[in-house]
Amino acid sequence: MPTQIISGVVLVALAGIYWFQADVIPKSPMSGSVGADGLPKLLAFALGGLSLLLIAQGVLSRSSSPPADIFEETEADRVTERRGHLMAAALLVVTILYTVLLPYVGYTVAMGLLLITVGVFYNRRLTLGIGMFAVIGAVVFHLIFITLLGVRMPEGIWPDLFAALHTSRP
Amino acid sequence: MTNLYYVWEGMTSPSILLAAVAGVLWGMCGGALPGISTAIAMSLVLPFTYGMEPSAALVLLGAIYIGSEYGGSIPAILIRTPASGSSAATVVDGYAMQCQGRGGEALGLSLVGGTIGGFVGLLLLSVLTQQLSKVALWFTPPAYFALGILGISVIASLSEGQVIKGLIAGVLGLMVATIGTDPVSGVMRFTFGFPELMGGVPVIIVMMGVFAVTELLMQARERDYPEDITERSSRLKLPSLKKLWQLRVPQIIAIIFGTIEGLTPGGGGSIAAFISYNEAKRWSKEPEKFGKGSEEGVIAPETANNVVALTALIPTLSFGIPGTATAAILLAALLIHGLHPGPNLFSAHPDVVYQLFGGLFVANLGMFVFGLVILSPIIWLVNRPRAYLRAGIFGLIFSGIYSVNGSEFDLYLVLAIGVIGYLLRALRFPFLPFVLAVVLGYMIEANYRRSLLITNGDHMVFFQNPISLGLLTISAIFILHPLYRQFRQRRDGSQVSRPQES
Repeated sequence: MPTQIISGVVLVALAGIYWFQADVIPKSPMSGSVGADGLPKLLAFALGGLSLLLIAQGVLSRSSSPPADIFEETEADRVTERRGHLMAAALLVVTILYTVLLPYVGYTVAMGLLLITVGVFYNRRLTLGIGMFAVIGAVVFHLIFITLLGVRMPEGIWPDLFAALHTSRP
Repeated sequence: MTNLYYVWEGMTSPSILLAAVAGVLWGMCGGALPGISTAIAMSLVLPFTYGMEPSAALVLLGAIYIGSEYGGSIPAILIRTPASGSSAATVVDGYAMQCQGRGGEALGLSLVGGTIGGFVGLLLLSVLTQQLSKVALWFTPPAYFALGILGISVIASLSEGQVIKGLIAGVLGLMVATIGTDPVSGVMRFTFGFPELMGGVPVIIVMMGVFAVTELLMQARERDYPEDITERSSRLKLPSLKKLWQLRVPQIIAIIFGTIEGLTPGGGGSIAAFISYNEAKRWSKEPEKFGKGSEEGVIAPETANNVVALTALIPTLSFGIPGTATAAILLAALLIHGLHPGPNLFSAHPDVVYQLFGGLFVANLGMFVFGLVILSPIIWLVNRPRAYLRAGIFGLIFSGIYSVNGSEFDLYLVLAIGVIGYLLRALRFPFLPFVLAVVLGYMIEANYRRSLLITNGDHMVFFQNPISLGLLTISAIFILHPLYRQFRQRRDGSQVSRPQES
């Protein structure tokens, strides 16, 4: 089934879910004649209609183009596409890990880890240059955002850890 | 004559000169850092203005505003990361030029366009403030609604050849804009129990997600990394006078829309940038180049941004209407120094007002000079090995996004928006309508519902208000014209093919 038809079906489902979510928006006497659910329902309706048009367009273009020899090429493309999606998903996992670790390891350490991991991901191997880049980069980001701009970034477990070590010292 | 003397004083007084130069430099740096919006850059220095002379304080803040509007275009062109909504339209052709090894040329166009826009905006601000300020009062909720519709009518042109997909992307963007508190009743919508979503999805997160995160995910798909062609172009290239003359039409368009947008409080630079981009494409002799590295596609939104930066001060100075957060900070600075905006400001404190104009002239000039100095090193920096650059961009995105609200939730949100952008691009949906709809969604819905509240649900209000009627008519033309052109092209094509068949 071509991508366009699948996209259309998924979007119709999304329109349905969105409609039902809009339907449970609490009613308020202050909402006026349109209501808080007015525009969302209109959008759900519009998305549903447009998605059906997309499906129809996909079906029509499918019926008017039956080149059998193209299928092999499309299959090869699909393998490449699938691999590409996996790579993108892997990068996404790396960035999610950064976000999960941030409150525990603190901004500067998490930044260093992010820079080295993403650097290795794109470079395909770990080099001394990437290691140095990660260390210097983390320090530069710390200087810009924490020292210069005064943004309160997560400090992680370090202050508590150092405080505990300091108090346990005889 | 006295006013001219004040302007001259504003251009030569050491304290105002220092404020203009420091402000524009700080603004450019702040504007170039994603997440550090113009408002944040201004608010960070606001405490320092207490002890300053009123003129110098206002020039400092105004200069930050000017510098920040320009600074946003630097990451937009070089790394596809618009630092603000107003630089989102620049990404399309600016980044395409960068990919073709013409990043220095794109930055040159953006710098010159921004400077021209700034000077024209300043001219309008200083000459026509009292006359043009009345326009701000004409804008009522129906007119704002129609202005939003005018902005969204651009979708038709941004989705040439795939109108259905473009409209779907636009509807998805409007859906994202409905997340958060209902603008009229205050009822929560689509927050799924997350208090962080009560204020809606910030536009900056949508920009960074759709443009920057999506681009990095797309680049992760590449199997090999060929030698970067941008290595060949690491110098800023300013456009020649001949080139600027050739690009006069998009600049005139940008000045017109930038002025209109600046006069309407709350509009922001995004609408002006997108409409200017769209109209530049419509009036271009080479519309097919748009999206593929068109010079007109860079200079139009960049000129519009800087015209808006200056003309937006007109309603702020004339009526004290802070349409944006940036204008509110300027208004705060005025009040801190005991100055009350309004028509009387010009008669009671002409020294402050005209020194401000003089200082802003210096700031605009300073922006051009600093651009010449700092852009070549920045281009060099961006041309470092791709692995370093991409890792650095991720660092910049996460640091910038966290800075907005100090919330880890925003980091997940930007990744989620990035995934939406990735899916749109992978499935070949145009993503610009999505962005535009998110930007305009709140404005359209809030003013639509306010208009109907005033009239007890009578939709005729949109046709009775002359501004609303005019803008809606223009919107209809914007949508119908490309459709008619497409129809005519098909008809002409079929007429040409018929004799061949016979």
